[in-house]
This record gives sequence, structure tokens and C-alpha cells, in this order.
Amino acid sequence: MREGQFKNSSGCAIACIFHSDGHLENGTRIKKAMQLMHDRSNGLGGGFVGYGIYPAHREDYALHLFYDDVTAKEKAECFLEKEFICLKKEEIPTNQCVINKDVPLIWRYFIKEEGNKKEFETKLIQAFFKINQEIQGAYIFSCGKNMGIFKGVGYPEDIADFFQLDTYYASTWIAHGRYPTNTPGWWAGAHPFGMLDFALVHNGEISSYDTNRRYIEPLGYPCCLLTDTEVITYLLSYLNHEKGLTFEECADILAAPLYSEIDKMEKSKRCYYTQLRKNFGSFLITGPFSIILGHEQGIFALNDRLKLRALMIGQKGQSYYLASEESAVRAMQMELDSIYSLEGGKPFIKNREVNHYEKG
Amino acid sequence: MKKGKFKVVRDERLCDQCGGCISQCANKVHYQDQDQIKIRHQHCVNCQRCVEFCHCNALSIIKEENVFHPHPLWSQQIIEEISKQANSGGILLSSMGTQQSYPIYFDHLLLNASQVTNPSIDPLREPIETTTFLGKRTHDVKRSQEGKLEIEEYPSLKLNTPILFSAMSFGSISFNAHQALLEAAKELGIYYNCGEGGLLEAFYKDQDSIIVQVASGRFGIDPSYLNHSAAVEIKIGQGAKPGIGGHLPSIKNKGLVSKTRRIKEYSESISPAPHHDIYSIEDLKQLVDSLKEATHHQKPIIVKVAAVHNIAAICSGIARSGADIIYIDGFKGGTGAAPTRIRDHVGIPIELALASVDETLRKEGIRENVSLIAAGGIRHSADVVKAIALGADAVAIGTAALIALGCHLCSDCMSGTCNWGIATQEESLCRRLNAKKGAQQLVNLIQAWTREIQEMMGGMGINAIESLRGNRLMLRGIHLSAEELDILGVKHAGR
Amino acid sequence: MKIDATNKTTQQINHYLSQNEECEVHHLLGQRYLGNALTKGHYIFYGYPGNVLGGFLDGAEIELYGNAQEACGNTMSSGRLVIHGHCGDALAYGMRGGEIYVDGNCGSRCGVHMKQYHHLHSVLVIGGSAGDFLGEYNAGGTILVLNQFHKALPFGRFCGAGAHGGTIYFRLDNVSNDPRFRQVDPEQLQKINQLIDRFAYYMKRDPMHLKEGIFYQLEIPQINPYEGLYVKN
Repeated sequence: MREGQFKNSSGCAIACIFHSDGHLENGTRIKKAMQLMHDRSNGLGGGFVGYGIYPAHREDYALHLFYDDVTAKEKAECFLEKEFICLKKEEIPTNQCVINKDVPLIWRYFIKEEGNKKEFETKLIQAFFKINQEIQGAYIFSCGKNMGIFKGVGYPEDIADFFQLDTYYASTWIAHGRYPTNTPGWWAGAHPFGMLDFALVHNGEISSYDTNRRYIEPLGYPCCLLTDTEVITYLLSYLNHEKGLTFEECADILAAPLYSEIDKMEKSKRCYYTQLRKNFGSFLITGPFSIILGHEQGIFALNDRLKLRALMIGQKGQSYYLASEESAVRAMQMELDSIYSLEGGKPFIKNREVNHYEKG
Repeated sequence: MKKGKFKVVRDERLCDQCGGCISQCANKVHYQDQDQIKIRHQHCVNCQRCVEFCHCNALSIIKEENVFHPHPLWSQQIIEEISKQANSGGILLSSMGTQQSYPIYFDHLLLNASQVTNPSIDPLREPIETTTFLGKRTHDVKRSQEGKLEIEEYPSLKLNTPILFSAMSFGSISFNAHQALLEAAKELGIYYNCGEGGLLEAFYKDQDSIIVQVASGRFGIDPSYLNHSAAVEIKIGQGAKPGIGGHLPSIKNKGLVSKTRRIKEYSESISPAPHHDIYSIEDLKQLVDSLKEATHHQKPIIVKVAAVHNIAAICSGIARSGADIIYIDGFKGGTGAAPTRIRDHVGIPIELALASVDETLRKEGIRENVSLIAAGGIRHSADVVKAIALGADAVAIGTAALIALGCHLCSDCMSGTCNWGIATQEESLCRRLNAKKGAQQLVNLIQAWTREIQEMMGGMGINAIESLRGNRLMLRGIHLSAEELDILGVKHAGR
Repeated sequence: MKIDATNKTTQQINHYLSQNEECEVHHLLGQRYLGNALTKGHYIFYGYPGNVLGGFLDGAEIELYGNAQEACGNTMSSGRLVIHGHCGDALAYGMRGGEIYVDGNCGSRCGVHMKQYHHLHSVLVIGGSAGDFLGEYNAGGTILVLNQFHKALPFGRFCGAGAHGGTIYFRLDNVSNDPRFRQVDPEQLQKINQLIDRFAYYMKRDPMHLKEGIFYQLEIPQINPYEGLYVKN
């Protein structure tokens, strides 16, 4: 059985490094945070995403794919080459001394953007669903620009070594260690879950899953993995990419204030929140969660409104360090200007102050 | 037939011959014969009034022991019905919901609860929200020049708990029953539905808690009626009698009933089977739109339909008609009177109808065009939770509300001699129902249900009712076929 | 005795603790379950230990220079935790006895279901402020929030939700008209002052400074929340 064939519950560890000045660092420190939170994973999934890692291809979409076998690879490549201009293809370098069990073929493709960005991205999403749903044994697990997801079955620190993340330089790193309750381990089932520039990690198990899924699916987001992470990414993609809502507004929808609080607000705020709850009720997420979303410009983090999961945010200069536990934050950066716990339902939103990445 | 269905047993050792039963029974079951109280068993409908009021506790009602020759096909009831029709040439009429033993799908659905992977929450201490808005929802967002979010405001109903009282006309039930329903709705922050018999002018001041109905008979309707409301409901059909109109016998059409219906006293009060201005779906849009004009686009428009075979397609059509809310009434719904054969043989269960409608509307991307109210056999809070998890926004209750008012479900509403003062217009009987006390019982019932709903939601770790809506993972089927599971969109227990 | 915790596991450190009744542990980072169920001894920790610090503590005294994470003092029976820093969520859950002093702020759901029994009386003193659901389900014991950083209200939403015992005191700079709050009486103030003296002693702060301001008590309904909730079926 794989993700998508059953509904999977999982607990997790999440962490993030974000440099708002756009400077780049390799994957060593983010790995440390995950290593420290080893007990929050169970070896059945770990993953990372880095933004700014492909400067030589900063204008191209980097597609990362898992293949079960050569046949799947041939089919998927045939499809990709027909649909897109593929500038470069290569096997993603890995260290198979670290993990060698059930490792799929792991390839990446740099694809040229053609025409209008929005239209191209729509086409790319169609290809994403087509390959993931229809080509058996092939799975696109990363498809953004100048960013890449690296994930698999194993403890996160081993995944980091497996993908040699010390050789990649990113201005945002986000990581995930997975504690699924039942999965034999399918590499594509690990997190972060990515779609275009979005990559999401999530801790907790949401109780609104089927309400969210049944609503978002007909809007063109088939949930193939049946994981909370996937559905939350789709909700955000719909609200932000399609509806143009800001991340603040997204937070006000996903973790809406209680009616008892809304009713006490002054009129314009009351109207705003009531309208969001009235119209976007199917997007409300209940149950415990803390999420970190990476995107082209920065990061977005959010806890459930009843604050059932912890997420610590440390700041040092223009850099931010997020993790499920404070010690993991300290493992990345011991000395901090400040550290605090993110309140329930209150988003943490940071965008890069510069429009480029700088190698630090 | 010589014998009725029930037999009244008087324990003479306990009875003190006070005669209370004689005055309590409007069906004249008990009568004084010289110095003895005697019983006409065949008149008894088993309303339990005499039993409840017998201060000596001397009365019991049992099933008539006399049995016909048992036959697997020709049951006693069938034989009695044939005999009745042979003697009268009449269409059989029945009151309340069907008594045929069709499957109750609610009883084949089990709810989920959290264990370890996410926490259950406790409604006594933590917020668990049951507030529900009914109406059209939109994701069309615009921005003002300053970048402020602008979302079009559609008229809606706000409910503190996802339960409404269903339509029962004044005429079919008493003034006091209506008053109790209205008062309870006001206190609970939910809605009372005046039904098709017009709206009592005394209620106009409480219009914010009232849904007014536009049925095919158009009784009592004028612009003032339409605007003294929180919402307007177009009644296309009723679960207990899909495709059939209504008929309040002339004998009940007197005094305030006739005044409220705005028709001549003692005339027959007939609701045609269809609305004669709706012969096709586009005509529904015409009525919806004209009602919106008449109410200045301030009121949500509800379209109430009976659950019939093609309900998903029908609701899909309604969702595109401009209606804001669809009310689906399952075939087990109650009625003051309906032809027995229609009641027992036409329509489909609400659970299947609801599941299929919700799924279809979602697939077509029009689920948010409308809110869904499910009704027709909602018996308790677990039914409410299951209905919402199947996809309803809210449920409506009729029979359960009447039971809260004292109804014992004797199912003799059409006779007009309701001993509990509910389905009657007899002055002396009506007085038996105290509106204030009745309202309190309704409030108690809905509050108790709401607490139970919160307990069940809390168990599932869901703290807002909108996250339960359509959350079918919270349901599992038991003793259901693959086909039934497929329609309900749930997995079998253990999967 | 001094231990450097760098690269040491929970089990290794806990082993040292059980062997030595007095010791200092430095450079803690993320080790969970430290000092769990210890019955005696006095320990001083430095750094950022992981979750469930001092869980099931039953007599020992642990002092931490640094911040504690989630579930600190979980189901504590007796003993003392002194945190010279902040604390995460779910501090002192189900605490039956002993004392916890936190110099800084603590997260959500702290002091949940604290209780008292015979001679056991749980005490939680928070120097800064607390998050949502402080003292939820409280059944006994005392919580005191000193509001050192002078917030308008030193706790979040749903404070004392469903509490049916125990006391929650807190300090405000200004008079509050909130109907849920009652200004403390002289007898209560005396108890509060005793707690402040102890807090100040452990934190090495000036007690007089902490005694300024107005002390309030959160009204905990004396009625049984379950009364009228159920009916026999």
C-alpha cells in the first residue's frame, strides 16, 4: 500500500531557516535541527526543501521525479519531452551508502518557461497531475523554479546525507521528519509536499480532512496521496495562486477566529471575518496543526486556532529559525535576538527583502 | 371491522372512578354508564392522554389481542385497509411518517472519535462552534482601490445550532403549537417556519426568526407576509407526499385559520399538486427571482423538495436557479395527512438523497451556490451529526419537535381531535397545550441535542461545525452493501 | 559534580542524575525526559533541554538556567522545578503536588488539571504571562501569574475553562472591571506574598517590586458544571 490508497495519520517534526536578506547557506544547520528532533520521526519519512539552490537555472522549472523502474522513466520522459522544452536532465546525486533500501530512481529535469507564466504554470500543474495519477511508477515531487525538494524514506538526517544537502545552498530551508502510523514507506509519500513554488510541511493530524478534500478536489486538485499536507497545500494554492488572497487572508480562513471573538470585534473587522467564515467555511482546518509553507518570496507559518501544536520562532538579525522545539531552533542558531512561541491562529509571514539570492 | 387496533385496560382495583379519563378523551373512548366508567376500545388511537392523566395510574393501553388468520402476504392491516376501501370507496389517508419498515440508514452509520493521533476535545471547557450560516457562498473576491477585500454579501440565515423547525401550517396544528415553536426558535437563535397556512399577524414582530412559506395554495401570501420573514421558502414538495398537494378540510377552516389563510371561512383549503406557475426548472428560476424582487433581495430563498429518485439532478437544477438554500425532505417525513399509498411508497430515504445531492453538487462545482437542509426522519442528535457529515449544512425537525410538545405519535392528526392540543383547532383541546411550557420543552430539547452534538464533534476533534460538513471520513457503514456504501460515500466499518 | 551534556543522550544523563544527588549539567540541548520521576537530590541544569523536563517528579529539585520546552513538570507529585527562563506548552499538566517557578512566560495549556490531595498541594508561579487555556480543568492547587512584563492581561483565552477547584491569582497594573475577576482579600494577599517571597528567593529578585500592583483572583464557578447536564436514560 502507498499513500493515496488509505488515509494515513502522522505526527512529525518540522523546522525552517529563512534568511530575509536572501543569503544562502548549505543544508548542514537544518539537518542539525532535524537530528535533534530524531524522536519525533520514526524513520518512515524525512525531507527538505531549499529555495535558491539552482542559480544556474534560476529562470527554469526544476522537476524532481521518482521512478519505480526504467519503464516508468521512459514513459514519463516521453511525455515531458513532448510537452516541454527540457534544457537539462540528470540523475540527482545521492549517497547510497546512507540509505539503500527500496530507493527509487531519482531524476531531475530543468524545463524552460514558455509564454505567459500563469498559463505555463497551469500547463505544468496539468502535467503534474497527469504523471502522478496516470503514469504508474512515476511521481513528480518537486516542480518549482530555483528550488527543490529532497525527500524519502528514512530519518531526516539520513535523507540529508543521502541527498548530500551540504552541497546545496539555499536562502530558505524547510525540513520535515515523519512519524506516520502506517506506511510501508513510499518515497513520494514523504514530505515536504510541493506544487510549483509551494512546499509545505505539517505537524499534527487535522480533523477537517475530508471536508477540505471533498471541497478542493472538484476545483481541480485531486488528492492522490490522502495526506493532510497535500490537502493543505491545495487549499493554499487555490486561495493564494488562484484567488489572489494574501497569506494573512489565507490564515484568517484556515484558522479563522471563533465566532465568540468575531462578535466582539469592531464593525469592519467583524464583517471581514464573518464574511470569510461564511464563504470559506470549507477551508477551515480543525484539529492540531502547525505548518510551514515555503514559496517564491518567503515563508508562511501557522498554528491551529486552539494552539494544539507548538512552533517556536527565533530571530537573529535578518534570519529566522523555526522549529517544533526550541532546542532545535538553538541547534541551528544558539544565540538569538529573540525567541517566541507562535500563537494559535496567528500567522508568521516573512518575505525576502531582496529579490535575489546571495551566496553567503 | 368491529375492533380497533388497541385495547384500554382499566385496573379496577386502582381506579377511583374520578372520571378524569372521560373528560380527557376527545375520542370518547371512556364514558359513564350509570355508576360505571366503560370503554369503547375501537375508538382508541393510543394517544396515551388518559394513561398520563390517570392520577390512580389505573390505565394501560395494549395492542388489540384479537388477531386475523396469520398470512405472510395478507397481513391484518392489508385486510383491514381493503375492507375500509370496499365499504367507502375512499383513498386511504394516514397521518405522520410512514410506518413501513424501510431501512433506516442513519442506524447503519457509525461515528468516529479521536485516539492518540489527534486529540479529542471537551465541549465543557473548549470552544466547539455550532454556528451555521445558510445561504449562497461565494469565492469571488474583489479588491477595493486600497486593496481591501470585497466579497459580495448574499442574504443568509444565521443559526446558533444547525437545526430548524420544519414547516407545519396553522390549521394543521394549533395556535399554541405555533407560538411555542416561534418562541423557542427566538430563544435558541434558530428559525420557525409558519408553513403554508399563512402567518399569524401576532407573530409579525418576530419576523427575524420566521421563515414564511410559498406553497402552491398561496394561502395568506401578500407582500407584507413575504417581508415579515427572515427567509422565504418555496414548497415544491413534502417528503411524506411527494407529488401530492394538500387539503385542509373545510371544517377546520374557520376563525383565525381562515383569517390567517386569507380565504373564506369553511371553504376547502386546497394546495394544488404542482405550483401552476412552475412546469419546468426555468419556471422555478422565475418564481425565485420574482420573490427576490418582492423581498428587495434581502431574504434568502429556500426551495423545499421531496427526496425522489432523480433528486441529485433536481437539486443541481435548483442550485442553478438562484435559490440560496435547498431543503430536501426524505420520504420518512411527517405529515398532518397524506394518502397512505403515497406516504408509504413514494420517494427515497433522506440519507441516500442527501449523500447523492451533496456529491453531485460538489462534482459540478456548485455546492457553495446553495446550503442544504436535510429533513425527514431526524430523531436525535446523532442523526444530526450523521446528516451533516454526509453533507448537510443543517437539519430540520418536525415530528421530534411535536413530540417535545407532548405528541405521543398516535398518528391520528387528521381527525382534528388531538388530545394533546397540537393537531387540532378545537378550542377546548387547544387550551391543553401551554405555549410557554411547550417553548421551554423545545428549548430544552434543542439545547440538549446541541450539547450532544458538541460532545460528538469534540470526540472527533472537530471544533467547528463547518469542518464536519461533508466530512464523510467521520462515518463508517455497518451492514451495508457495496452499492449503498458507494452512494453514501463512506467506507465499511473496519476499513 | 559537573557534567557536559554535549552529545550525551537522555539515558546517559538520567543515569548520572540517579547516581549523584547533587550535580550540575551543562550544555543541554534537546534531551528529553530529564530527571523524570526523581525522588531526591538537587540538580542545576544549563541550556535547552527537550520535552518533559521533570516529568512525574516526586521529591527532587531541579533548577534550569535556560528555557524549558513542552510538558515540563508533567504529572508531578512533589519536589520543585525552578526555571530561570521561559517554558513551552502544557507545563504542569495533571500536577498533584510540589512547586514550579518559572521566571519568564509559559505557553498554552499550562497548569491544566492541577489538583490537590491530602497534604499535597500543587503550586505554579509564572513570573511573566501565560498563553491560552491556563488552568483549564483545574481541580485544585494554586496558580499565580506575576505579570513581570506588565501585559494588560497576563494570560490568553479560556483561562480556567471548566475549572472546578483550585485558585488562579494574577497581578495587574491597573484596576480591572472584568466580572470574572475579583480583587483578593487580605488573607489571600498574605498567601500571595508568601509565594512571591519564595519566587523572589529562587529567582534572586526583589520581592517588594513584585508585590506592587493589584492582585486578582479568577472566579472559579463553585457550581458543579455537570449539574443539569445529564439525564438518566
